[in-house]
Amino acid sequence: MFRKKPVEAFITETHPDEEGGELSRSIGLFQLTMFGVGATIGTGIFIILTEAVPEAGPAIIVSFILAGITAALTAVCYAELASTIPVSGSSYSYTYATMGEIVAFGVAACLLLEYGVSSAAVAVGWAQYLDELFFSLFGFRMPDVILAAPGEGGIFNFPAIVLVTLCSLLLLRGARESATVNAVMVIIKIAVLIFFVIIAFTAFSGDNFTPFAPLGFAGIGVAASSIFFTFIGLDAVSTAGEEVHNPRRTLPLAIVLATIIVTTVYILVAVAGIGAQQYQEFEGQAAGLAVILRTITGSAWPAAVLSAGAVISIFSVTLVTLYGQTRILFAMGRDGMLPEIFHRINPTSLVPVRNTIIVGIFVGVLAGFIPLGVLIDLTSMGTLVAFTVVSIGVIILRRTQPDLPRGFRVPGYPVTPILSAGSALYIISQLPYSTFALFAVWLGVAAIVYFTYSARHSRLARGEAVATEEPE
Amino acid sequence: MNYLVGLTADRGGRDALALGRMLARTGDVTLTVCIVLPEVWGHPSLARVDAEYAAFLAQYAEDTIAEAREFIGDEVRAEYVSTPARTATEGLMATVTQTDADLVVLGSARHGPFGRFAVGSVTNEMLHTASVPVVLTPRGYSPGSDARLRRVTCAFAGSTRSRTAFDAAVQLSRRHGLPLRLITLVVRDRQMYPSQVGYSAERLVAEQWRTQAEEAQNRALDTLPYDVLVEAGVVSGRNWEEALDSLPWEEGEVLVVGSSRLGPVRRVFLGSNSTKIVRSSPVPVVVIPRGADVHLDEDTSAARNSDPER
Repeated sequence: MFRKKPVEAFITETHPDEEGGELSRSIGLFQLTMFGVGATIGTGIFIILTEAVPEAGPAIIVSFILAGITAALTAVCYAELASTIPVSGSSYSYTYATMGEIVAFGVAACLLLEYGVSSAAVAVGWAQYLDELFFSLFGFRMPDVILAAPGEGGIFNFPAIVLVTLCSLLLLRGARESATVNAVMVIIKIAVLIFFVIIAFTAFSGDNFTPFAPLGFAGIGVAASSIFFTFIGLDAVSTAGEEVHNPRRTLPLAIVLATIIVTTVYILVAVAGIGAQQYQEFEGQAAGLAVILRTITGSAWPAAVLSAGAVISIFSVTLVTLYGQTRILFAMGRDGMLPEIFHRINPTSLVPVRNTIIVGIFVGVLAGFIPLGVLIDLTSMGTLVAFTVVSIGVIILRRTQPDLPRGFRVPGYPVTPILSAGSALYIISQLPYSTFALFAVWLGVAAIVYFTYSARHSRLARGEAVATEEPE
Repeated sequence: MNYLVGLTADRGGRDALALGRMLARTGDVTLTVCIVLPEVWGHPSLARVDAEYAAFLAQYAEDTIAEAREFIGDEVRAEYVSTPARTATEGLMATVTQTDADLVVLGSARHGPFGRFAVGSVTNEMLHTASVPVVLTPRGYSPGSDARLRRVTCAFAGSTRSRTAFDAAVQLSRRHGLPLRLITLVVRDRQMYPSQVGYSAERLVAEQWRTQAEEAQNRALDTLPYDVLVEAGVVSGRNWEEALDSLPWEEGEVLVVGSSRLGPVRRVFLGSNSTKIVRSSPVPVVVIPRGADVHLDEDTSAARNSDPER
């Protein structure tokens, strides 16, 4: 149950020394920073204020800083593991190598929340902005029946399902987002957010900032736990490890810089938003940023511009997270943790077709039928747990395999991983009880799958050839 | 067996002719070299201009055919025909039917890189309408006058469509008494950027595809008649051209690919992967029509059971 997959086995499986990847080995600091910014911004800032501001009031600024620091610390820990175990599958693979199979399976369950559920959450946000865009342009609103989850006065969220379907189809066709598209997306996202900040500042009122922390320190923690969702993707920087020029210096710098840029943009947006309206007014605003713009200016076009930007960039975010989800399940299928169906490849399209379809359906159902707040908290939960495990993994791997070559080492060891795990645990403790309950159910389901299927079928369990360093 | 060569008086026609000559050196093959001429009016025209044109065409066909005859030499059995038709495709297809040809050899269009095939208007039409295998000659293909077919390679993906191509390749190699080579191309997909799962994700997919391909190859090889000499392999690359170029090719080798499932039954219709292979192959490509397996199956299984020595 606690068997570990040898690090060398991972490396042999993927032949990392064969030819090298699509990206040249010389990713510089600027590119890597933009990569981190691109992967992070857009996952949640368009929708999170509505959920999080009422929890903390203006003190949400502190929540953003808290969440940002935690995310940066974990990203640094990720970077060390990624440079030691340069394989796909993210923290699932790292855990498999350090803490054993059952923990890895648990982490994979968390990753399903980080990727699968977050793409559902993002898709729901997209639906809101699409509706807002239609309203700004044509004065037409979709009825709630097809725009909200069952608990929120609707039947199902039709646009969110459409988005997930479209993205799945693109993935089935083998579509990929390229570095160029990413750069364009970064520009669009930052441009519309700055556009929002500038316009919102014209209606700035300092009075909105008193009282600063109406709900006290507890409120700040609670908001940070919701907000954490918006920092997903920062860990993506660490996965570029093997392609980076001079990783020892570039990786931590890029992570820190990306965090600073992302947190700054978030805080600017939050300050501008709160400056424009009382914090209580955020409650229940669908497509919040666009609504604020319309209220301030009294005209439709700024809201339309912002919504259009959001609709375009959230589309790309959904594509990327859905893709990540399929490839994690693929890695699990390879290890025998999941049925064969997850790693069969279609001979014509050379894409894991069934895997993609299953993920599409799963995410589509979540996006269509679960309220946004629940999705966001679940995502934060999964992400934070995975982050904590990774931080602990750094410490474990240093102890068990101190001699393994590491392209990058965490500065300030052991303080950094301990701080990282500690802050993540603190934020977890602030999540609502209902989330804990759902998470427990989810882990329970994962445990059932593990003990009924994976424990017996895993390739390690069946003693199938996993290459190790000893010649046999 | 009767192989049809589409003759034109340009470089592409010459290349096709050279390939046809090579193909006809082994097996029991007769070449039909066909030049398609524009139809002339059947009724009298003003000042007999059309008659003059007809005379010119006849002369032109005669010259071209004489040249082709000289090129082919007399070691290869060949017939020469000129077919009047409204379009080249129509003429070729009519000749295929008349002569009951088993295969059509076509030259490349002039654009595109030297040493690869480029689809032109006639080949494009033929690729959509032909009911027999179409052989595409790379630009500037010039095997020696005594070159012969040495090996048949089949691009195999393990799908049912590949199965047709595989059967056809087996049939071709038996007909010419040649070894068969089964290859599967592993083309690594582009990476997602940004990716949240690291940069080896697509390598993982490629590795899995390699494993699956090997399984499918073994399944296919199990069904082979025992008199076919065969080797199998999987090659990878970042794109089709790189993968194909990484293979060793013999002088006198052809590559067999299947048709897409999107096209009509019993017609050639290139799919997206086959199109890429055709464009990047350094050797002539034989495109097999979809659903040709009925005919081929009978042929191979009969052969397998009764006279393996044929």
